[in-house]
Amino acid sequence: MIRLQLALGIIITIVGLLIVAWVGVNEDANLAQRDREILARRIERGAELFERNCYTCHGINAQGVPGLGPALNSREMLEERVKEVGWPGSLHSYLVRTISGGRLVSTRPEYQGAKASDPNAMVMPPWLEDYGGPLRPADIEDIAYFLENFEEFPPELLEQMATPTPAGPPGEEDVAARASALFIEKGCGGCHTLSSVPGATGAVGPALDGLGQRAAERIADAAYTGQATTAEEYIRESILDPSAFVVPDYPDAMPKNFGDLLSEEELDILVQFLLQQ
Amino acid sequence: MLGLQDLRNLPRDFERKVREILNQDLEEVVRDRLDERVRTITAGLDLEELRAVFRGDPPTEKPNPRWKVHTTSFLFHIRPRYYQRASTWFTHTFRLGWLSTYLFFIELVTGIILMIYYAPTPNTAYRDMLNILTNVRFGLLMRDLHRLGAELMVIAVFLHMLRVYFTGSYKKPREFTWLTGVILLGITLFLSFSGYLLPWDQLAYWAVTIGTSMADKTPLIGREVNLLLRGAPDIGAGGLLRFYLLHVLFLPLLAILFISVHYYKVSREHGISLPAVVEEGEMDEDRRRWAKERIDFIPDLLTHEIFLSVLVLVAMVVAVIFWFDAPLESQANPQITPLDTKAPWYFLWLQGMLKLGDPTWMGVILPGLIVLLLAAIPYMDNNPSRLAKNRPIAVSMGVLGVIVLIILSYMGTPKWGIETPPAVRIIQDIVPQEGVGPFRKLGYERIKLGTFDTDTFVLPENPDEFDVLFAEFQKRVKNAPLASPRGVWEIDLLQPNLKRVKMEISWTKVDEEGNILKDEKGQPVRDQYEKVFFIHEDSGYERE
Ligand code: HEC
Ligand code: HEC
Ligand code: HEM
Repeated sequence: MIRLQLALGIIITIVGLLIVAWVGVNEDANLAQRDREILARRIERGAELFERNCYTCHGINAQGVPGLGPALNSREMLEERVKEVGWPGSLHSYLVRTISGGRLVSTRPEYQGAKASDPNAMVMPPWLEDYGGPLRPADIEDIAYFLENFEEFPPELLEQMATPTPAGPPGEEDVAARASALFIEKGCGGCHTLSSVPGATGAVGPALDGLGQRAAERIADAAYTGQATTAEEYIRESILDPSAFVVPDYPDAMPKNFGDLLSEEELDILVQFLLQQ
Repeated sequence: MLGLQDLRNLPRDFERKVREILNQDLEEVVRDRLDERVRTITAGLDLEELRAVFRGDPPTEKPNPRWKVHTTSFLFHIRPRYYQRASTWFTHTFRLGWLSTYLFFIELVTGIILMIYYAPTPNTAYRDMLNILTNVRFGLLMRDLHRLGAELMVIAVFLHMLRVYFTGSYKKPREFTWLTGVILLGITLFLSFSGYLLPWDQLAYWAVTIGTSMADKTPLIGREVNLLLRGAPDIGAGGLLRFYLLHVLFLPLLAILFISVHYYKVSREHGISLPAVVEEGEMDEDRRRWAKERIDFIPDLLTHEIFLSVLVLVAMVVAVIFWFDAPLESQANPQITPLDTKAPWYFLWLQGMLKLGDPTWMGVILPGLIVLLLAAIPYMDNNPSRLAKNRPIAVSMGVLGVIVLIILSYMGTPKWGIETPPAVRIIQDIVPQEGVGPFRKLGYERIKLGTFDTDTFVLPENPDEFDVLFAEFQKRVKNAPLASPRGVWEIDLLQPNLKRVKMEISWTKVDEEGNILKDEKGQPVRDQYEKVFFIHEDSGYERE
């Protein structure tokens, strides 16, 4: 028994050492691999946090919202920006600092963030918990990793993305879906609440529920200063020339350039959609 | 002091020494010297004796020099010189007490290594875990070994208790040994549980939040006990530090103390019990005499234990490298309660009990009574026989106890008795909040871009894994207890290597009587549940 156990013990020891040596040989590669995986998962989390907290001002694709917040969807652009503002550190530290502390006043008049609705607010609130925000240091880093991951799309990917999903003739539902998507993409949802569009929870401008009916009341009102004569025209005017009539108790904060940002077709879809609300 | 005279004498002294050495039998000198060294190292065995030991030969001198080791060496003086043969039969102890001790030792070593890389604060703990995985060579191995060791130790200790129970080894005069054992069971569970919090991930945070909230239900002093454990109303920096100190300092010291007492009782005072058949059963007298013969610790049992140590350690290393991964979820977040919170498996029975009734009764008083009952077993059981056939009640109670424990543990899992809304359940099963799940498991490449709708989807001729998964989703959505349910996946690219997935299940709202709710325009009102998440090219879910 003793000899058997000794022999077996020695064999097992050797096998064990070989396995550990094998792990050791691969260890550096494995560490790097796990490092990549963890960074990738942090980017995923960062994207989720962005989706949840930032889309109102920066858009769901980080493409920016006119009047509210700048685009953040290009690493190159952000790197340019770091040079422009004279930040001495890395892009990562710029992002972490900016997101953590928010911004008191805008460096660019065209982006007024939370100030658009409340003149006493910071344009962007601080996000770090230490400064009163909802996020922890690791969360902020995750978002920064996510933003740094915005690279140019290579052409073959763009093509792949452009292939439309098989669709029949546009039914009523499709138009509504298209309009909801536009409402979010173009940043309307950042300033307006609309209960039929998930994610449209902004509070800078009035809620647009029941707009079809309200539009008619607005033009009938003696205080109305615009040119519209029908509800449809009113909505069109509100989008293209917001200053023509400023809804009482709201600032004249709606961007004036939607005429350039929306195609004729997109405008029609939005107007028809809002008319139904 | 080396004087000048000595220096002058040096050449002559040297010459004399050389002559002396040359005049000796060189082989003998070397052997003597070597023997001396070997004796010092082995605490009493010379070379020849050592060889005999390894060959399994009888001792070369009288009195047995191997016994001397037990008086000269501290480590060996803890161990008895011999055991009775039958008490070392594998099927009597299954080496489970030994295994518990050995695993505790492995935990000490791996734990001390992990301590080097870990600081117990909410902002560093999780970061340090990631660092151990990505920056410390063999860090993953150490962590996995430590985790596996902890879970195996719980199993080993529990099985050890069962074997002691079923062999009746707790009976007179070993009642006190059993009592220290019960304390050790508690220490083992709390060691494991206190370590559970340290990675500071969601799994840890919520399991421990649930666990400590049980302390809250202790009559009279609940709030104080809870505060003492958590350091604040909620687990935070204070709670983490307290659990850390419990885990690395207080409980290990307590464990060492009680293992020592336990072990002293077992091997120095009473000896390991003989199997009941040998002690009182019917047996051929020659065989009984043989079974009671002494077996020397050195070399028989020592070799066996070293062999087992190597075997267990290598088996654990292999298990850790090929199968076992210590879990790590996302960083602890007090704001987000995960959907399926679960106690560690060795406390599932308790979670199961909690579902049965009032938390004060089920979570504190009853478990307390169970522990008291466990400790009192040797004092209540006055059946003198240890043979299983003479203790039908004790044996059947033991079996019953194990069955109840298994059932309670099953009831403790989230599967039992917790209703999740169907839409949430379906999506949670496909992409769980934490962990991988079948969708992520597809991997970045196999997740297709586009919109997929349960109303229009038909399984293609040659479906790939993605299609199969969507078909399954379609089936579950269609069979869900919802009015005209519809599920949609929208998948697009947000960044060149980051896919955005929106999963949505919508259904028509109905009131309590089952009538469809309509809005002003007469359209049915739809309700929906939606989850948006992302998959990065490098996240490697397919490898998990
Ligand atoms: C209330 C609106 C608002 C919200 C919500 C908001 N931001 Fe901003 N953010 C702004 C505005 C406005 C600016 C531009 C300020 C300026 O130009 O000086 C800005 C600037 C930034 C910048 C600096 C960009 C640059 O070019 O200097 C970053 C980075 C940023 N935001 C990230 C975020 C992240 C991440 C979130 C979500 C956690 C977020 N923001 C949420 C309004 C907002
Ligand atoms: C920067 C914030 C902001 C954005 C972005 C924005 N709006 Fe506005 N919107 C406002 C404010 C503020 C008002 C109220 C003041 C006014 O009438 O100009 C308003 C008013 C309106 C009104 C009139 C509402 C009423 O009750 O009479 C409509 C219609 C409207 N917006 C549609 C849109 C649409 C469609 C978009 C997207 C293409 C959009 N808005 C984007 C801020 C915004
Ligand atoms: C950390 C936990 C424990 C350790 C390290 C430990 C260690 C040991 C060891 C090494 C033995 C020698 C016999 C054998 O290997 O089976 C032993 C025997 C014994 N243990 Fe434990 N034990 C632990 C927990 C327990 C528990 C939970 C109980 C019961 C509640 C218990 C009760 C006993 C008794 C009664 C004996 C004597 C058995 C006999 O003489 O046959 N022990 N223990």
